[in-house]
Amino acid sequence: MKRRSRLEDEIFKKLSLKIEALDIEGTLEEVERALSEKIPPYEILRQGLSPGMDRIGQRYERNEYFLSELALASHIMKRTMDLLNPYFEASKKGCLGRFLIGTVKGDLHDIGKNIVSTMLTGAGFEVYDLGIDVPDEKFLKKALEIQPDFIGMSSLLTTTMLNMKSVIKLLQEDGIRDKLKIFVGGAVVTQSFADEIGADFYAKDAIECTQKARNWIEMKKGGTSL
Amino acid sequence: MEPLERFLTAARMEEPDEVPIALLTSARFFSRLYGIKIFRFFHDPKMMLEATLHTMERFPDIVFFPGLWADYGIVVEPSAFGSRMYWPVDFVPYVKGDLLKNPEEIRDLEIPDPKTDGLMPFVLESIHYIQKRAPKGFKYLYAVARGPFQVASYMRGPTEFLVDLRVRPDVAQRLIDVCTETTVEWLKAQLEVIDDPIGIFVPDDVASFLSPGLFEKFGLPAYKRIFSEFDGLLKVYHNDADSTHILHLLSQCGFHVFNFSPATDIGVVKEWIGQKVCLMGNVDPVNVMLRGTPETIEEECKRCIQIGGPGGGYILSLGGGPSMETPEENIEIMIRAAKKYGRYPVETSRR
Repeated sequence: MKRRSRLEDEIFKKLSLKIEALDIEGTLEEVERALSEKIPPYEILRQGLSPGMDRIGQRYERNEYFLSELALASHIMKRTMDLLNPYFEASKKGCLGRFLIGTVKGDLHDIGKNIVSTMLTGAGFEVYDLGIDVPDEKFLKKALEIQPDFIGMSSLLTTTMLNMKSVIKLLQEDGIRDKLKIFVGGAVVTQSFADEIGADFYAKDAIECTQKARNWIEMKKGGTSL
Repeated sequence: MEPLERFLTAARMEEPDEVPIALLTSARFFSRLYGIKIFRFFHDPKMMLEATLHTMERFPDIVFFPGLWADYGIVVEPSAFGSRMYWPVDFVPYVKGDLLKNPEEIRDLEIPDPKTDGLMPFVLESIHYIQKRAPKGFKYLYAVARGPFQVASYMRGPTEFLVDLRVRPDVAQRLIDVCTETTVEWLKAQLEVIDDPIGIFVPDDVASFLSPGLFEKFGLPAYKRIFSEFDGLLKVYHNDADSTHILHLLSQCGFHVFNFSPATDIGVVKEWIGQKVCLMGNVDPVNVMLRGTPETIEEECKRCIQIGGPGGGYILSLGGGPSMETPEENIEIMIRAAKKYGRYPVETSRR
């Protein structure tokens, strides 16, 4: 395995601190610097951005950051991904896994789902975000196309949360349910509801979702356990 | 005491004879109980009135808040700015698309005219209709307007709005200012046509997405502006997001009643602002009222009463409106729990 140079270490450290401090321009500058030093994009994500995003999550849990800060972090991640994306096509190596995500049909809430998307991206997952008000069939169609490791569904309304169940049913009928893991979340969703509809994981927020998805991948690879 | 008198006594931070119960007026719940599609509720003031009266008469021990209400859902204010609305048959209307995709457009944004813009004139007309036809004993009491943060996030998009607060603070401030004045003007327009108003109701969940620093900068001045108006009226604020981190600031805003959800711990709310503001909450509308057992519902109502009730200034309620499919029996359990545990002096409990 290639040893990291002192320069790479310095860039990763700075990048991590810049994004943790929610410094938009500083983060983008460090990403550009890393790319100019020919550091692979997934290394930039995993060694630089991901530790910074983890610390943002920790600060959220300690009530130092709030939704407004997570939304800003999400915005910064989106902008860094705009810089990194052209380089990803050349090398998909290093991706933790594929995560298909969306807010279920009839529901237009997007803040939490967007934050989950960017946290997962920051952790090194390849995220396919279907957006809001996603029909059941669209989850299935995209899952058949990209073969994700996870599907994540969000709902903030009691009237729409049952659509999560119908998506799972559709995946079962098509025979791909057991080939992936299903996450559910959103204000009205609970662990008992997740159990009831046959989801694999419930996550109360983006931080928990990222941790659980990462733990699952590591466990599958035979690494650290849950 | 009559239920409304009990409610108003608690709102004045006093002890009534027993803890009052209030549930938010809910088009979804009312439509279901009356056996009509939600679409019909919104599109026919006659149905709106009949479905509301049906539920109010079905549960006379409960104060439905704001009670008689020309409710056209969350789309009223955004519609007045020109947002695109979506009206499903079996669901409440919602705003589709973000009107202000380009933040620069915010600079030219103007305060709507309630007499002519969007759904506002329909609401005013429906207030006339409902007042004229309401039977004896039922009055139209409150003006309702969504708060500036809710409206701003509908128009700009919730994530974009939150990002603007840091990235383009001057533009965000302009949007908040316009939305704040809209809330004020819209409340005033309704108060002009309500015969004998007793209060205003301002729901605004998005404010709690802000950090304490951002809320102090943007939220506090906006709310102070709104609640410094309307002297002599009861001012009720609803926010069902987790508000723990801004409670100390919310208590400075000038409203009298705070309706909050289980996302914010009732013990913490009572301790921090319960001496200053009447608390209305916070039984979980989904996990307790919709999906709970008779035992868990009674236990949770008892817990809320014993934390919120002591000393007065407390109204037993849900954190948000009742879910559409809430069983009527579960509401009966809530009423019985209020009678059983809510008689003053209320037994004290620590969480």
